[in-house]
Amino acid sequence: MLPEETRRRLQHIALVGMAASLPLLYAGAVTLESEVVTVAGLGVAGVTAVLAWVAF
Amino acid sequence: MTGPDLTLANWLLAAVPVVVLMVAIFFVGWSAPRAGATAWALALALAFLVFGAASDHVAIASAKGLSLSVFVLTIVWTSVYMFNLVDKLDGIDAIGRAMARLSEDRLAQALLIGWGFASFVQGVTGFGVPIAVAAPVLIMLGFSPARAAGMALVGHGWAVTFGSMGSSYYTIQLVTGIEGHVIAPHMALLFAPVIVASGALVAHIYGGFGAVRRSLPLVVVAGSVMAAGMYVLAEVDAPQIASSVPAILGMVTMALLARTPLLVSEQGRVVPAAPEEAEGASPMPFWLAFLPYTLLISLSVIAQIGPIKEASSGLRWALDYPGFVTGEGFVVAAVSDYAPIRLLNHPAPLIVISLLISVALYIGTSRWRRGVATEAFRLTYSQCLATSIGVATMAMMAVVMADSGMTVLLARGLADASGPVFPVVSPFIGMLGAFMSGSNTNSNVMFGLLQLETARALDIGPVTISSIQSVGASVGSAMAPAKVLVGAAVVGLSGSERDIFRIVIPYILLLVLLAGIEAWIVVELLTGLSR
Repeated sequence: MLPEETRRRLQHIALVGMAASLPLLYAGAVTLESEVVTVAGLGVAGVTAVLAWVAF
Repeated sequence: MTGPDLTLANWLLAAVPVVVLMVAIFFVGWSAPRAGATAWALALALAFLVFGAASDHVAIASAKGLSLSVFVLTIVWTSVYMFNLVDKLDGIDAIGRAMARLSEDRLAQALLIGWGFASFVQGVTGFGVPIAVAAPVLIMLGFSPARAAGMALVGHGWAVTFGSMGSSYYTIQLVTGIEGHVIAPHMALLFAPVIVASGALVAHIYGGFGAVRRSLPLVVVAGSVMAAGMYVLAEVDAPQIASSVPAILGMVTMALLARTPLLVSEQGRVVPAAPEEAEGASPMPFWLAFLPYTLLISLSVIAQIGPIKEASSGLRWALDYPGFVTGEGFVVAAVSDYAPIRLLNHPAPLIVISLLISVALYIGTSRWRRGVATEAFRLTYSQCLATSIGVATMAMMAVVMADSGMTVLLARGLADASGPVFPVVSPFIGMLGAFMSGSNTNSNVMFGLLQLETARALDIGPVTISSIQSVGASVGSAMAPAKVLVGAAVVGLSGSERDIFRIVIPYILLLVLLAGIEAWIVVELLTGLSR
């Protein structure tokens, strides 16, 4: 069980991570068509999902 | 090859993310963000490992899900902020007192607001706004938050297809290519029992079978007026107002009949008085308290006027997405302007404009208080944090499933397995689409053609089945996580969405089953009515 303060902080980070995922995924898969950026976008979204799992 | 093969193993695998989502929320008690994150990760893994999607496909699908989330969450954040701001200025208190005066009977209040008013707001706006507006009013009247959200969700479901100025109706009409003068009146006929049943179910949420018995004459009369209004407007080719006007007619009927023997009075029950006005303080007048909502509704109507709609159509934010073909041959078409936020055709900008005008008037009438805007924002942030992650992860899951062929596979399996009882299953397919996407319109896009083609293959009424697709999606959208999470955020139950789901889901399943039985009766027994 995480301390309440840490959990709150992780919740804010999860929101930022989710917001950052859209431009990364879009740039990687659509604008730049770059495998590296696409995987980075999926990575950020994946880490955010883990944070969401832990923090909520 | 047009997608993954329909085998039992594939069908069961495609169902895994949805089943896990439901089990996690209802039985394990996980929060929406935790359940959504798990379901998205499962959908992503299945799309990638089983259904032939490449990394760029799942990335595009996830980005589309986030685009959809931006569309929904801008409504959530602005509507919750509007409510909090008006509440901090004692406006919600004033609205509650005014609404309580319409009828002293709490059952009548529940029906007026949860069934009539929520449906009217759906008629002119939609996209979760009915819940954001009606649920807080019900709470002000003394209903518990979960029941308030439940009544608004169940009560407004019938108004979704012809609501939002008819956007979902036009979609099913365009997708199936059936003439408007054929499908609109037929759909209105199929909606009639659903409208009456919605009222009875709102009464049931309020007070069980006792409340249903007490209000049955009122509900039948008001519901019949609403259904007749919808049919007439569909018949005269005015589908864009075939929810809002019947809802107004229903509210007027209810307000008039609530004082007659049609609403049996509750024996021995003490009617609680309307909330007391604070001593010494000059209460905010109703018109001023309700001004942001009046402006929102008015602007929504004005924005639909032809020349204004045309002139503002270019003012929008949206992303274009390329098409692709998965390894299993499932074709995803390219889409321009995905989930667009149009300046005058999306609730969020309209809410912002309504708020700015209202704030100017609050300042002008000395109702404004220093620091109230920041206080309302802090509260909104804390209320919307979990909702935002929940909506984003569930929308990503839904689009990953749709774009890897899993959703179509689920629907095809249901259609194939049902055979002669397909009319009963048909609205559940519509409900599935609405549940996954949070939208009647999206469900009609996803499954409209599938329903039409299945009806033709089975040689049963294609108009009836196309109509019942939208009826199921309309009612089913009320239990979509995207909408329930809006309700939870507005009534202050973020993190306890399960309480609302538990109230709403049985009622919605009952309404969809009613629609299915209706369709079966029309197709099999009243063949003269079938089209």
